[in-house]
Amino acid sequence: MLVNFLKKWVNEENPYMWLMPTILLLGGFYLWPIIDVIRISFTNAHLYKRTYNFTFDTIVQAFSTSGFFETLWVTFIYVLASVVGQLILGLILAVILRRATDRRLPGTTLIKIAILIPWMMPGVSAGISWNYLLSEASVGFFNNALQSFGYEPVRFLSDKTNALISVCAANIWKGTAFSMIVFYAAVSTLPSNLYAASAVDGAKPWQQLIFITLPQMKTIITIVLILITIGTLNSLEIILALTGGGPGRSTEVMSLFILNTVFVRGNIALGSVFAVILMLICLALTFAYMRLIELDKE
Amino acid sequence: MKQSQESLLGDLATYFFYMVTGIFFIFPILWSLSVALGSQESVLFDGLRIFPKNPTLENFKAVLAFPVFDLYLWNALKLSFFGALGASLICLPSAYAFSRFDWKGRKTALILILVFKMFSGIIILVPLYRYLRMLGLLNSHFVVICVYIGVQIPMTTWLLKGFCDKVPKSLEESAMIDGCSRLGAVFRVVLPTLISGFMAAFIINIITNWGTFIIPFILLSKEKLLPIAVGLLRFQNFYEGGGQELVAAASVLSILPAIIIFVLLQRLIIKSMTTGAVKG
Repeated sequence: MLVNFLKKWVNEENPYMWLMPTILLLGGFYLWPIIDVIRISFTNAHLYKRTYNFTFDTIVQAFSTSGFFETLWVTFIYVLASVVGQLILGLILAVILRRATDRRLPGTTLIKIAILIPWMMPGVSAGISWNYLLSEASVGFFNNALQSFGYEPVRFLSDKTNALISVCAANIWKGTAFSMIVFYAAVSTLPSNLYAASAVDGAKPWQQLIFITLPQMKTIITIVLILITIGTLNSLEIILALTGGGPGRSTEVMSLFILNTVFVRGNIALGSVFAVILMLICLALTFAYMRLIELDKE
Repeated sequence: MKQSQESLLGDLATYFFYMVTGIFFIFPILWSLSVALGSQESVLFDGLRIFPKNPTLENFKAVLAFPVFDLYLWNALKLSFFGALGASLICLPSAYAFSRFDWKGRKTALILILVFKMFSGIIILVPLYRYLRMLGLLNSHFVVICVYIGVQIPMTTWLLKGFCDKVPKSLEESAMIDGCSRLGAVFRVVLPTLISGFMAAFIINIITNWGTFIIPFILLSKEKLLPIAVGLLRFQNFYEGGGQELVAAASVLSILPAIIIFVLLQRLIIKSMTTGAVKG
């Protein structure tokens, strides 16, 4: 029986044999942890204690944890600002770069590289670079500039509102390359006869942008929106290097909050509840993304 | 006439726009470089000088002489290299399966793989940390490499499937008619044509792994094992009060490899960025 079983499964025409390494790794390093994090969220486990009991208390406790709603709010603002900023800037860049490429303007590749470098570099380096730009110590560029022109220094990083704005700006700076590249590819596939026809009818370039380009790109814009949202929810390196989540809790986004709950306070059950909440948000966004991909194919 | 005048005006506006965006995107890095090239005094007293008065490479030398810094770089290289190699090798057969076989649920599986990409590293690392700690497997480069591979599987599978699709089926079919088994046909005919695709997946993985932060940040704690992305944060915290010129030099050093690879291979990398977003 075993021999028959092996003969049936272990052969080169069985696609699952080819997929086996991928299935094992995804199972071990993704699927199992995801199931486990849900399980832990129903316990009172502590990072450094071996025993635990199953309970709903942690889930109830999560919603009364100090800083939870502030973190949700900060995450919401951080994601919203980053997404809106990256979408608009990426779209403008894509349209301008497309036109410049068509007209073979020199320097276009150089600008593309300049925008892509922040995207390529490690997040911690990005945070450090922005730290030196905005710092209130002697190294900070902007405050040096302000002072040499006789203005008061601005508390870019130690004021709560300013710190959140700074973190968003740094994230937009780092992430815009992605939306630009995807939009650039999308703009390149738009049918050119629409533009020619509308030009004959006397349409101005900005009218073409609003009435032809944007409606044609509705789906891809939404897809990019969802991908950036998920990417932003997952990123914390810039914040760690730029503000460390402070001052107070003013830049402590969800992923950082989970990190602190689990690894600073040792409360792995509570951290798991927050992780599950973050996971549900990601999952909802993913379903929206998949639905759109299918719509796009039809 | 009027048309060309308008175009010229548009070109002028484009260059003005280039200037503004160029400054916005490059200046933060340029300022880090300027801090890194200055001395401690220039950081404290020179203020606005974008090009330091007496540029010096001393900071770079000092950083490289720092006891663990070369280890940070070496570890990052090691983790990136083996993570990239592993992901590319493991995804080759699965990409081939997605490209050549037609089985029930193929499309669903292909999209399901993308779903994994959507979960934040922190979500899987909380439980992973817990059971790796119980098993005594924290501070192991091997385990970290496995997690790197797992995280990169979705993107790499999609990328390699795209390259597989471009290899004509008739190639291996004729080999199989000539008496090759499928496995033989894959090794003799398909793999040699996939080399460029494999290199692409490998290089993109290296760049992504170089900047990966959260996985080693949680799974490694021994100073000697840290890659540069995590080491840099330690470095920054260590020099919180002063010595920014050293941190800046370290930061610039950590960016360099990624930039060099990128400038050499930008077309390839740009192509990979749209994988899964546009083609669906």
